[in-house]
Amino acid sequence: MKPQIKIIIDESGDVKAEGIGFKGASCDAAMKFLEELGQTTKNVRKADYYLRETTTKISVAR
Amino acid sequence: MSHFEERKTAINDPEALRAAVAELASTLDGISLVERSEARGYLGAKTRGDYVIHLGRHSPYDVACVRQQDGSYAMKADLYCGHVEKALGKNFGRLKQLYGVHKATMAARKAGYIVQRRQVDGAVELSVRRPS
Repeated sequence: MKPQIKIIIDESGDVKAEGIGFKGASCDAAMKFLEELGQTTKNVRKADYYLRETTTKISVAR
Repeated sequence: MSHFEERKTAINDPEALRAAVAELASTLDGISLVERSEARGYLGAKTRGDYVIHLGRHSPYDVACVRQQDGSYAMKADLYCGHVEKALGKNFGRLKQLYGVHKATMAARKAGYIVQRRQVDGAVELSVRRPS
């Protein structure tokens, strides 16, 4: 799934935002623009946050 | 899902506030935002604001937005009889909601995202992603 951010702004003006499809701390960087809206009152990191993107090189002997 | 967060919206951007008031004016004609103006209060009382939301015929009282030391704007209005609440929602909620929508959209676009907006019951949902 292509990473995206869902933002819900309720009738009192409070904001809930959710990063979807990000791996690791890239989510923090992607959602940084939300700092312009106001102070965070709650911040929850899901399991995917702790996943790391890695690159593995495999050499095959012939 | 990797991360979610909740924020209290602080009104600190006059451009987003202007966009919010313009959208309100599309359903409440005559509402306007004026810089350095006076807000009408009870029995002819007036209070100055760095910006004032003039509510026209929708309320005998207006809303003064007064800049605070931290750069945010405090909302001052006479809430007597619920005129202001009827126009802008409880605790200025409708105004804050539209401000949040426009501020988030502006901030996301500035960061290079594309934004799609839809109404979900009383809330507004923004879907933000990188252009493909």
